[in-house]
Amino acid sequence: MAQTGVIQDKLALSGAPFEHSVNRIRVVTIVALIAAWEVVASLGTVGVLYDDVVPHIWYIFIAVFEELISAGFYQDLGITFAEHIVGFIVGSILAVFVGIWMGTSTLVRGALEPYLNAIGSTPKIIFLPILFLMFGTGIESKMAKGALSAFFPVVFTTALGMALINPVLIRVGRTFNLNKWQMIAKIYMPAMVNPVITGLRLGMAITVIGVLVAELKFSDGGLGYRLGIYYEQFRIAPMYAIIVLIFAIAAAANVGMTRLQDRVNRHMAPSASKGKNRQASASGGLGVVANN
Amino acid sequence: MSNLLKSIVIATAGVAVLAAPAFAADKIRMVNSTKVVFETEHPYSALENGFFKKQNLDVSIIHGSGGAASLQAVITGSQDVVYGNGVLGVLTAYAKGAPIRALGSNIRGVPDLYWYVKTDSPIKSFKDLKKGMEFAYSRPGSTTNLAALYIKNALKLEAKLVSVGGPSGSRTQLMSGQVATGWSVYPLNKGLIREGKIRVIGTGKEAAGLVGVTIRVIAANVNWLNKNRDAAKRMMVALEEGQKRTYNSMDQLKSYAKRWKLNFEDVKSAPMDTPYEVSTLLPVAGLDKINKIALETKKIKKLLTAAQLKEFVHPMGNKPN
Amino acid sequence: MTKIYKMPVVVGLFGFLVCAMLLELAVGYGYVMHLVVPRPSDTIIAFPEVQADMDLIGNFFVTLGMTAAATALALLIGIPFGYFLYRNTRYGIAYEGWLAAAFAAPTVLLYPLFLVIFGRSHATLIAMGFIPGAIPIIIQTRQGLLGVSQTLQNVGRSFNVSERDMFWKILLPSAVPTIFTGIRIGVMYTLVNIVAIEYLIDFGGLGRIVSEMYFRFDTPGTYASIIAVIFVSVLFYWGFGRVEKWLRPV
Repeated sequence: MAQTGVIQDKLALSGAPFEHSVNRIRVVTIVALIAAWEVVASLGTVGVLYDDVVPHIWYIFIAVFEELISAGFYQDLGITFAEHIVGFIVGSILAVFVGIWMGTSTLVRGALEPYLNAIGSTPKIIFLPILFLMFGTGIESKMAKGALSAFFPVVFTTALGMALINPVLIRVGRTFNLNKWQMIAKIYMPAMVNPVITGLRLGMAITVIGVLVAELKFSDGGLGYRLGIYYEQFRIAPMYAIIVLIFAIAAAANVGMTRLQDRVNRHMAPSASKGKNRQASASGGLGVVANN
Repeated sequence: MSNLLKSIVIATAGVAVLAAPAFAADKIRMVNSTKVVFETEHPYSALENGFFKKQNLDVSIIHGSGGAASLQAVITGSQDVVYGNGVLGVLTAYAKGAPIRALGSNIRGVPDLYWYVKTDSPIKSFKDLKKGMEFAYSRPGSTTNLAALYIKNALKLEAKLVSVGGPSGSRTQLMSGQVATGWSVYPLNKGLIREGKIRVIGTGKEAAGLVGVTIRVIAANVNWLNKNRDAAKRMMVALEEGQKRTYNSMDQLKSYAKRWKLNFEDVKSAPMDTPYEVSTLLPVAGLDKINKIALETKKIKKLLTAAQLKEFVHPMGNKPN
Repeated sequence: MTKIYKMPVVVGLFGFLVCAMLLELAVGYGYVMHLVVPRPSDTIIAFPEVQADMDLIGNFFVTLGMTAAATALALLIGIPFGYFLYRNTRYGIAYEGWLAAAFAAPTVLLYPLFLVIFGRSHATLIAMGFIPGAIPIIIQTRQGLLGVSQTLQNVGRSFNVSERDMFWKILLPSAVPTIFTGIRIGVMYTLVNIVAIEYLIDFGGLGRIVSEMYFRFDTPGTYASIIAVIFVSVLFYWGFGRVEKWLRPV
């Protein structure tokens, strides 16, 4: 486990000059990467590499700009966004309820866990044929893929969160004769907000990947479809442009969810957990592992 | 007052009569099996020139990426008709009990496929492909695999068949020297021919065993077909008109180029690259051969009978004779 | 003595068998289309056919081999780079956020890029497996080394151990549990990416079999090969878990 205190002390000693040198390293790295890319791109021009394979950075910038001013890009973005949001919401809601169910019953947990672990550890992409068969090849199958991708990280973190709830809180709830739904709303959910949000953050990132991959395989719209079309037509700079934009959107979504989790952590009651070291941290940590 | 009321009633009736055909238009959901290739243009031609509307049809078209997924959409009923799906796949699905029937041929033979090399390559034709040289095709079981196999057998080539994926993957591997030949389908990569970067060494016309054999079909879900036979017949008439239009109209070729962001110079010769005679909707020919190929490639476990092959085809939407 | 019907494993298995039987009846009587979901009995029969036709076991080893190659590459580059980031705090801080962001990024989408560079070959698959494998190894190596107890390091210094001995005798053994967490995460993502790319480009091992069965409209074969992939995933992680336990018994 990282001793973040060690890092904090070093920063405190070095202050602004330390930050400047860190930023300098970042800037130099970016410049070096761009320079290396340009060298590789130039190799194509002099006949060492196939010259269309790595275009110059400038062409990629132009392609990014052309995408951002194209109506088609926003149409495809809207399709991917719709698939992602619906899939994520459906998968997460289902997962939270199943996770709570598993957390409240050792029998259910023991019965379901082996199957969930088996499917959870499998690359979800191989279920695509089944989803295409069941939901057709339209937007529904991409939503289903998104839901499947979102389900597993959320169900595992929810079940874990249930297990980590301070038993004192549960006993207090029972003392007040709260019914099952009141226990969920007033005791379980507030107590396990942090692990659930960790799961949602992971689930959101994995849902993006799941939806895009489904679009790549078979779709009529969406950013993954757009990427596939450019590749089929060998339009390499636009292909890179779409990859850059997808990465930027995924990074922005990840940052947004991370900030949300940090905010929730700041408002969390400290007695909510049993005090065990939590595996998931909001910023920078890998959290609970889940597959796409 | 009564005159005013009469006028309103007559006007309303008039609007209803005019609107009635629109309300009564038969809806058809079509999936165009692949993108970009020339023979997928005909449904768009029919749509854009109002041929479907003329037949009182409201056709929606989506497109797939080739392969099983487009056909699966029709089999499961989420689409009604698939345009331009590989006949091998359709026959295989039918053999396995899928509710699918062929309505017409999309292309016979594979004249639109071509193989190419880098301009400085010593290979001038298929006959120059020696032992150990790579003869490219897309993926196992595909039309290009079939075509490459037939060319290899017809010309008794010793070159090895190598799967290189789609036209893009083929282009990269050829241009970066990983394989000796690349494959493509007109009009893709024609720009490279124009620029003198590649040279064509042969086309699918040299797959003699496949000449005249239907390679891609128009197919429909049989449950939909039985309930909408008249609509299916009208759709085929509209598609035939659309196809004629594509072959005879420069404007349609421009629309095709614009749709897929192709260079018009590459697209102009498409009607010559894929001659009209091979893409008429009838006949659906060579099913005996396709039947045998399906068995050889383990797609089916036993040959379909003559009766089954007859039942498989509903020419232009009509019941089999 | 716990009543057997209350044992979770028994309950789970019973539930699974009931679902399978209901599905068998539903497909048999036509309530569910057999081309969408096959009868479980047809799926079981399809296993030996898929093995005979597509060499399921052989392709398992192909996927395993590529995963092992990608993981070896990830270890070769990831651990030294993680150590470098630990030794050079400024670089560690500078790249920390980028590495975390890269871990969450949809790197599987880079496959067209690798296809154009490496072509349709095992190199593309290994490269695609390497990226998601290396990142957690780098992150966890650095985290593990940073987490080594200061007391242990002070003890080492008080005995005047060399930098080399400090690394091999104090830092690395203390950091191994955390590094191993990174390796486990890395291997998991490597396998996922490799199977995904195999499926997307119809090339390679297990993923290709699923795609091929689907292309043949062989629905029992498709489901059989998917179950086989699930099985080998489970076997893989179980085996890896045993290796991990054997290497660090505590």
